[in-house]
Amino acid sequence: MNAPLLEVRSLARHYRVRPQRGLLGRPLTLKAVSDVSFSVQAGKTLGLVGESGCGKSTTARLSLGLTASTSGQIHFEGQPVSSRRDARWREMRRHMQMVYQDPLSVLDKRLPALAQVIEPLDIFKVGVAGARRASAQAMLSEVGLNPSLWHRYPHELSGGQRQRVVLARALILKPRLLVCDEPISALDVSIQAQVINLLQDLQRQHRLGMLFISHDLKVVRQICDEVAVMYLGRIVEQGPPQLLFAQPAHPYTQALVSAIPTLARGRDHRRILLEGDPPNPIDMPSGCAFHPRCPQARAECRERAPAMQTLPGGRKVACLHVSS
Amino acid sequence: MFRYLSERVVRLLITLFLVLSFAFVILRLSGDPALIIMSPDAPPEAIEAFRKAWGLDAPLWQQYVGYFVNLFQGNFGTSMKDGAPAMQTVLERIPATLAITVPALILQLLIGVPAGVYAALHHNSRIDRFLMGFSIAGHTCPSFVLALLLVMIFAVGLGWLPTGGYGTLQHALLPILTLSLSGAAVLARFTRSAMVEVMGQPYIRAALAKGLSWRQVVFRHALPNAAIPTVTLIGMMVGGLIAGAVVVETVFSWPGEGRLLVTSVASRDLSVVQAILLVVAACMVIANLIVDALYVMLDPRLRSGHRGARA
Amino acid sequence: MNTLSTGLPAPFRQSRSRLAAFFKSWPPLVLMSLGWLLLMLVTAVCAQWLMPYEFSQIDLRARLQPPVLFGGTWAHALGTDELGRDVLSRVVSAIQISLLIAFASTAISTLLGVVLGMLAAHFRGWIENVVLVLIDFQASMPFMIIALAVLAFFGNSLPLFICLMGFYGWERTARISRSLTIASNEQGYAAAAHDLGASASRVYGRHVLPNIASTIIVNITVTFPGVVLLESGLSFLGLGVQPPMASLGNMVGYGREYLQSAPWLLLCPSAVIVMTTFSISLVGDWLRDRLDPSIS
Repeated sequence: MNAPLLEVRSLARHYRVRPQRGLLGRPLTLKAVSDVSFSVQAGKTLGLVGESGCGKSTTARLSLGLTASTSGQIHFEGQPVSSRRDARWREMRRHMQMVYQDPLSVLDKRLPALAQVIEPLDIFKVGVAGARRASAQAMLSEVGLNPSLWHRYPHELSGGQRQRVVLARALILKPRLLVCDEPISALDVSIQAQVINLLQDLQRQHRLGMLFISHDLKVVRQICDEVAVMYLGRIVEQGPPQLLFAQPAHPYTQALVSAIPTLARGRDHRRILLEGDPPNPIDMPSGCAFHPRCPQARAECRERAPAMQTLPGGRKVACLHVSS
Repeated sequence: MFRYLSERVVRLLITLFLVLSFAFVILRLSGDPALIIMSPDAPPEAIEAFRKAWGLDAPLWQQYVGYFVNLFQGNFGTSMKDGAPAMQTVLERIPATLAITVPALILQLLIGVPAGVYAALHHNSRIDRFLMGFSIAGHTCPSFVLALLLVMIFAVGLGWLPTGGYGTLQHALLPILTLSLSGAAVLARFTRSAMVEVMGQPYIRAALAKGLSWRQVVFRHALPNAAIPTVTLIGMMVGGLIAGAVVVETVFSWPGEGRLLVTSVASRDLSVVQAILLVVAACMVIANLIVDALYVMLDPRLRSGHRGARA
Repeated sequence: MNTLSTGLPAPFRQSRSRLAAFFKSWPPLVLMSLGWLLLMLVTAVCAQWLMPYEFSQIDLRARLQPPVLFGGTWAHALGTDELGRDVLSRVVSAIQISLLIAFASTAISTLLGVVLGMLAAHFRGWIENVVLVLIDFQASMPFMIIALAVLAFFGNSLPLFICLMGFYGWERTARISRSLTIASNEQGYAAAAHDLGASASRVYGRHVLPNIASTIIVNITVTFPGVVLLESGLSFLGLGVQPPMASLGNMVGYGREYLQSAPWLLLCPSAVIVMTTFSISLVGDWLRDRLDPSIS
């Protein structure tokens, strides 16, 4: 299976922002996502990591066509994905779905769990009414929600149970691509493990392609086949997790990886601390976006923006210091 | 701060413009103004002359512009009844209306606000329920019913006060009383809910925890914050001073603005009705502007450009 | 729960506390209000069958008779007016007219407000600005004045009057529905339903509307008495419902002349107006406390 399920090329999303003070300032541009390219294979998981505000969620929404892009191309199974909400867009929803960070807010509080899962079947008029109920029940069993909970309302369920309902609702139409936007950040740590295992099982069962967004590197290392690190709307490094975490090439990835708490490293381990101001997508630095905080920055980093280079082992890095 | 105020001024001017256009539109939509203002059996030449004089034979947009030009020039038309300039008739009656509505407003503030605050501070107690029962009764009772009841008790039953008319303080007493009671009821209810909401805020608990006395908390923290939405209501009541007395003036035969409006509507004296409409709109706009300026003084969030509490 | 100290047998104690619990969630005043409103509704619907006489039936021999407990007879339980017409029948007919106007106008106003508010929240942009300007316009003028101006220029046939009353209070409903819809859209369940592929009408019809319904219902209990008061005020002034139709307001207006000689002529319809608006307000407050404590 060489043709990618989802392919994204040079994706960008810029917002015109009116400045705070009065009518006199010129409009500024908020560059949420710039020049992002990646692809997701069927049955595989691509992870997107980065700190808050680096553009991960925006990228997720752009890939599904939920938000309009400023430039770039998105192709799902070879077909272009538009953000115009017409009939074709709606048809595409059957093949690509999203799982959200806060399950309580994305569930209608007036519908019990079973009704939430039946909803997509009603929208797309799949099968007959009686059969829809049975399909929903089967799906809820598959995600591991106890039948005694099927009639409960969202506020009567725990966080992990709600996320299962959201998963069931996303998977009932048998999509081929699942985008998970920080699906476990809001859950207790013990439940996180259960949901991660569930996601992996479901992926194996249904051959799902997954785009997994998180700021938690440990989880990403467990579940992803490939990881892309984002900073200020750009991908700075991409590659298989074992390689990326063992030998990070980009200075930002090195800082992230050094911050992962583990027992294995011992007392001599020095965390790399990043200095300088936190990133501001409105006021982007010249040249390489990371250079104000980079411990290895040189003069040329302020002038030239690095291009993505391919390293052996299938890795890609955007840094002027790394030579292929 | 200037940004907020200038935004509000623009909005209010737009509203005023809309009211004036509304008056124009309904005048035109209601049929041929010439036939309405002059009686249908007037001679055709007179109707033609009227049309020419008012420019009614010109295309619509021209009439619209002409209408505004007339307004700016101060030409508001003449009253059908006596041929006097409409605006003059309207302005003549304002003092009479103010003579009852201003004292009523003062009484409303003096009765309503303390009642509401007291009820809020004794939230859910018997006094609170009693006061709020009174207040619901007060504002669900239509003003004409209240007026007639007061007439029956004080004028007919006890004979202390006259049933209507104009001239002395005794004539004004019942109208003022009617207006005050119904307005105080609304104000009490509103003040109570604003105070209850403020008193439930965490910063009140914090102030008490700091050691401030109950009285200090109420006067320095709760009341000023509860004043903000209450000021809006009071502003609307001030703007509606002229309008609010329509029914009461009719019941007591008090020759004010409201009664003029009713008689003009009944006799289809359209230029007078239009003039009253404009005067009331101007009052509301001015009242709103004053309220907005007061807001800036009361709510520091507005001074620095934050959106603040107003919707 | 003290089972030992009261000394009463167990079943009696149980029923007393059950009664107390019943009255706690259904206060007696609210029950009485609901009862009155039910009575009014039944009267309005069955007016034709409840009237002992035709409401315009003139009987000059029986003019100005007082009600039954004040010297009159059961033939005219609430007395007669200056033309000998039976007050009870006229009150029944007036209830029908006034409630008809109130229901129709409240329905129009609520529909207008909800639709415009949701349109503004859904489309944002210039549509929202237009709706906001309209809301400002309506909110800035006292409705009584606007109503009087329209009545002056257009006259007052009943359908026109109902349409005019239908504009009362729509701006408050629109404000509420707009802000609630914006909140639901931002909250996520509406956005998630859109993302699932649901059409806009499905999202608003099946998700947003049921969620904002309770607040809208409470708002209806504020609009309804307002319309009743406005209509009765205009009818009292002679500018609302015209004779021969009887409305509660114009009955009070005609009874005004007989304030001293035949006070029941204006007291009966006044009492009905006050009891009805009081009941709705009370029920509305109680509903609000039960359904949606977030609005003040």
